[in-house]
Amino acid sequence: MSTDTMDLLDVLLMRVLDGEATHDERAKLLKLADAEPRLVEMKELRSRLREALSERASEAPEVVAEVLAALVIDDGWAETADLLRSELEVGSIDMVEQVMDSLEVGCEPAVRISALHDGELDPAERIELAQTLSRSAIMDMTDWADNGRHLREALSAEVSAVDLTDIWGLVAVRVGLTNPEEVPGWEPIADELREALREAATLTAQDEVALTAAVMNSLPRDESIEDEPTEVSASLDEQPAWIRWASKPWIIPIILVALFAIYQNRDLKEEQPEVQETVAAVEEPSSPIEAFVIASHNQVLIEDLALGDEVTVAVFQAEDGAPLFLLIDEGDEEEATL
Amino acid sequence: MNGLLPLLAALTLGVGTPADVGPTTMISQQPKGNKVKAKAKAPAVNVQLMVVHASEGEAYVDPQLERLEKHLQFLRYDNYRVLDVHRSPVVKGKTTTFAIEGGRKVSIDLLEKNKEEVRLRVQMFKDGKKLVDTTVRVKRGSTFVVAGPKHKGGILLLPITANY
Repeated sequence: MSTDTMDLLDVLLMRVLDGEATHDERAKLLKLADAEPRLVEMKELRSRLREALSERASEAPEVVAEVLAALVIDDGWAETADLLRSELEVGSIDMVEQVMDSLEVGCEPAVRISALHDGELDPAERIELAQTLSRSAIMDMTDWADNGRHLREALSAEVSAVDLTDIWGLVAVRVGLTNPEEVPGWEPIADELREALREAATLTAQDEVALTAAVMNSLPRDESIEDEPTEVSASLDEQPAWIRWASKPWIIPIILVALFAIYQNRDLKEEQPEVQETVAAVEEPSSPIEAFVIASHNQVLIEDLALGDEVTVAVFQAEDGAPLFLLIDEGDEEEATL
Repeated sequence: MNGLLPLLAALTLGVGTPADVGPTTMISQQPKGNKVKAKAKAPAVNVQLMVVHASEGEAYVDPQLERLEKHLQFLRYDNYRVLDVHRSPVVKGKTTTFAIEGGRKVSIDLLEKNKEEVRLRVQMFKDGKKLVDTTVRVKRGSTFVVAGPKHKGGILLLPITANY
């Protein structure tokens, strides 16, 4: 086969593939293919080529697929293709390494400059490369670095201002999760986390109280909390606390109870012989010291009550059996606390 | 010569068999001539003093105050948190003092005790100044509340329970 013949065959084949070949050109291509000595034995190939070229001239025929199919059948390349495929699958050819080597060789200056820009070179390499660059190039790179920093800062500021709270919910729906709070596959990990947290978070009663107190003591509190003044409260606030308590209707029976208790106490003292006990050892109470639950029925009587200067006290018991309240107003501030 | 007679008597009484050592050991260790009753143990009760901070704000009542909650309605506060819980035996003849928030101290003395009730003397001090001095008769297991000391925008409630 001559070179001219092959060139003409190639040109005609390209025109056929591009859908630009005329009827005459197709006929000429078939004629050349039949005359080509290397294609003489490839009957299947020439047959498929003929069928492809006989299709409508306005459309690009599927010549490539037909020819490749014929080649696989007739030309014996299948064995070569199989060998190539097996080599690639076994991995004896380190294609990645070769490709990267070729890239590094081909892109050496750009890659190194990029590494210099990103601060990925060690000091010696940085100095060596910088000496090869012009001053203007270094200044340009400095400007780019500054621009990159400004861009990162601006992006960070924008991102921090965006509320991403609901993003996961939207993403979860898109990836097909019905419940965003339940991610499949995390149950075993969640169980372990739950168990570990339960063990670590269990506090003794004393620790719990101490923790509560510590937290409360650490919380800032506004010292100037005041009630919204109303006409009624304003008029009450003008009076001393003991007058306000004395004006309560329930104070009279309570005072009577207290006085009665004091009177009873005198009787008790008179009846009881004076016994001088010697403190030799502590009589431990029968019940251990543990958290006391406030009883549903309480009984407390006040026998005696003495107050410091400016201190006022009101005694209050909401109902029979309720704990008795001694309401103290320390009197060191104008505003009553109770 | 007069001093030798008591010494001889003491030596004679002091010699005994190991079986003699027992309930009377404490007595034999006491100084001679001191008449001390064998069961001279000081009465004691267990006292619990809770420190509760009452303030205005979000409505909250500490779970430890569940029994007390309905009795807090008359106070103007709506946030009650337990800051601390003190528990200690209070022995007759020995003052037990609890340090509470705001530089205050509460001292409790056991005056009397019987099967049903105790008499306690409760005193509150602030910066060395006595605010309140009261004597109360407390039924066994009963609680009374000393309330009112100012603390961080609110007041302190001190539920005191005596049990034994």
